[in-house]
Amino acid sequence: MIGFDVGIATELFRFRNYVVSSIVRDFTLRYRGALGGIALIFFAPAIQIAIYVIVFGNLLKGHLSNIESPYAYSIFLCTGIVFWNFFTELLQAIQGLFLENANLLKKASFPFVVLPVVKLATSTINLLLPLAFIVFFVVAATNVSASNFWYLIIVWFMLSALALSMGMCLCILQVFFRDFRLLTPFALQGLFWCTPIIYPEEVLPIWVIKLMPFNPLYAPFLTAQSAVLDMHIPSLEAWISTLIFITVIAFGAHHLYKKNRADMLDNI
Amino acid sequence: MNTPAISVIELSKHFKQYSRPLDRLLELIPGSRTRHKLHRVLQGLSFDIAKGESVGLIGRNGAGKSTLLKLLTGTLLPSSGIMKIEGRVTALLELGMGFHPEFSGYENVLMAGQLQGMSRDEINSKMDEIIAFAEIGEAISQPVRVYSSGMMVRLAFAVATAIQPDVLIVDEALAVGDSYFQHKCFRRIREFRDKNVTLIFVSHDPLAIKSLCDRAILIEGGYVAMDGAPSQVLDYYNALIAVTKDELALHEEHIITNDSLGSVRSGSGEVRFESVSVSGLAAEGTQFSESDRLELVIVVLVNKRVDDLTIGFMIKDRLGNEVFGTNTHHMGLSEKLDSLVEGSRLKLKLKIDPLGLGEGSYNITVAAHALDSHLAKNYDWLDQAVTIDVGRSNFPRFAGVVRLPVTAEIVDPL
Repeated sequence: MIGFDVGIATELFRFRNYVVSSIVRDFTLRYRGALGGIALIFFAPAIQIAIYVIVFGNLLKGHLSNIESPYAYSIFLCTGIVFWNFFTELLQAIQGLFLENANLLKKASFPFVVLPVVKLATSTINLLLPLAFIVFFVVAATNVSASNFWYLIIVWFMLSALALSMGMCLCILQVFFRDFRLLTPFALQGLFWCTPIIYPEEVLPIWVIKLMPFNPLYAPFLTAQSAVLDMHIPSLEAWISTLIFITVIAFGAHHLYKKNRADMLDNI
Repeated sequence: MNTPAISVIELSKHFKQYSRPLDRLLELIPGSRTRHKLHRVLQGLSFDIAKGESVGLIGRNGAGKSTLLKLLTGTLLPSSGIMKIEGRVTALLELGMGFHPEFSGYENVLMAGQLQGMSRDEINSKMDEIIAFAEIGEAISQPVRVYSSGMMVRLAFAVATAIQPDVLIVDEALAVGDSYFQHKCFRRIREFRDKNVTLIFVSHDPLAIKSLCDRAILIEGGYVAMDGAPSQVLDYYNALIAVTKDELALHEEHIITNDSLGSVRSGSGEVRFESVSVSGLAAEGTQFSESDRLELVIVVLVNKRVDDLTIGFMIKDRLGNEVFGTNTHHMGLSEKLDSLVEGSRLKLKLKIDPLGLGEGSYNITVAAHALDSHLAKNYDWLDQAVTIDVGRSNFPRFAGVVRLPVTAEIVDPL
């Protein structure tokens, strides 16, 4: 894979102890001193989902064609939000890695690759809990075939690749141009509404639907939502733009990193 | 001793400096001109360090010592050149910076150890030793944010040196904590040295270099200026930092640039120092011995007629202790200085014969003010206007800063 070589694998193995404790540390740090503890993982998405259900629930219910279940929109929405939160959490964690760990990088010489791996793991764990909850609910309340849930792993993989490559690009650029830290939230907001996450694509004008396949986030979210609602699962063609995008951005990130590594260390 | 522990060939490091961030962006446009200045810190260093050798790095501030250490540690990457290091490197650069304030000392020790590639069991087996060395006791289970800075450094040092490295890199930043702990740190460094650990040590303290290292490398202007026995290199270095006549001009420029800060030169400006220099009968440049005569020549320009002009000087030692000072008021020259008219120049020659100072480096601060103290009106004040070095003389030796008129006689056995 891009940017992946034997060196990285051995480095990761050498620092496996550090990786594991960093993951544990990330979690304890997040919930240390919070009374709610691990329940807080559910709290924010639950509020978010409740708001969308109340505001858009009735409006969009009929647009989920061919789905009868009264929970259809809620399931559609929850899946979208949970994956979206995973994607943005990971992206934002990755893009801040270099600057936030400046102290560490200035002090000790250790492979930078360790840090994104830690973030990927913590974001994934954060995704797993609410996602397991959704899957459990779907299995209990509808008759979706269990094989559909394999698609969620593909979605997770693709979204991770997207977030990692985009995040790394931003992370490198941010060392030189701090503007990106301020601009990313706006860009993410835009992406959020440009992708059918909380609304089904049917509500959009036809010409916009035609443009959708060019959005690299379209295929992952459509696949996830189709899988849990037992709708038609998009074919491989739907993924073309996603795959091209990942390849280009990952190559870009790799190239940027190779070229600017020394300069980055000089600039933190 | 056949393969060197560290081998550096033509190592260079330069930093790109952009006057504004936009320039960096513009430079990305293909075919655009270079918009950065290169700040060359190291320019082609080459040296080998054998296994078990202890090497002291010396050089002025900004000579590139720290950059070299960071390159050797791997926290910076060289711009060109080759660098080979054999074995495990431990660097004591900025101690404790990687600690996380919310976590306990124990958890931080674990993380720091794992960052060095140790396993949990390895660290746990060393934990008691670490806690004992850091003398931190029960506080190990407290979050690091409640630690004093001394505790933090002690713990960081204890973790960093818990396992014996092959190469130990020590920056003088280590000179923190109380002297008791410093001694302890040096003892441990010495232990490592005796166990054939290669040591690279940066310090401005000649005594530390002489006692700890078998070799010294002087870095000046990004080059290896000298490489040899510590005493030799230190002598050369001392001669280098003694300000020569040529450099006085530069020095003054430096003082003027500091004007805005008001820290080095201050005063209302009615009277300005035009030049301050030293010369001696037997001495060359700023190198003196105790028996030499020192002449301090001060030229002042009177920009505006002032009453009760007094010119004074103060000799301070390397650490800033005041050794001796006096002024024209105390020496009974007040009346002659009173009659100076606007625009006139005055050359004042002060003689100290013999100089009478002990070996070491001293600097002279001069001031022009009203009446007998600079508290009244301060016209011009030049901190560290000249630096002089006092070496050995043919007078009988003594310890300390200044000779006192001592005599000794032996009274017949009682």
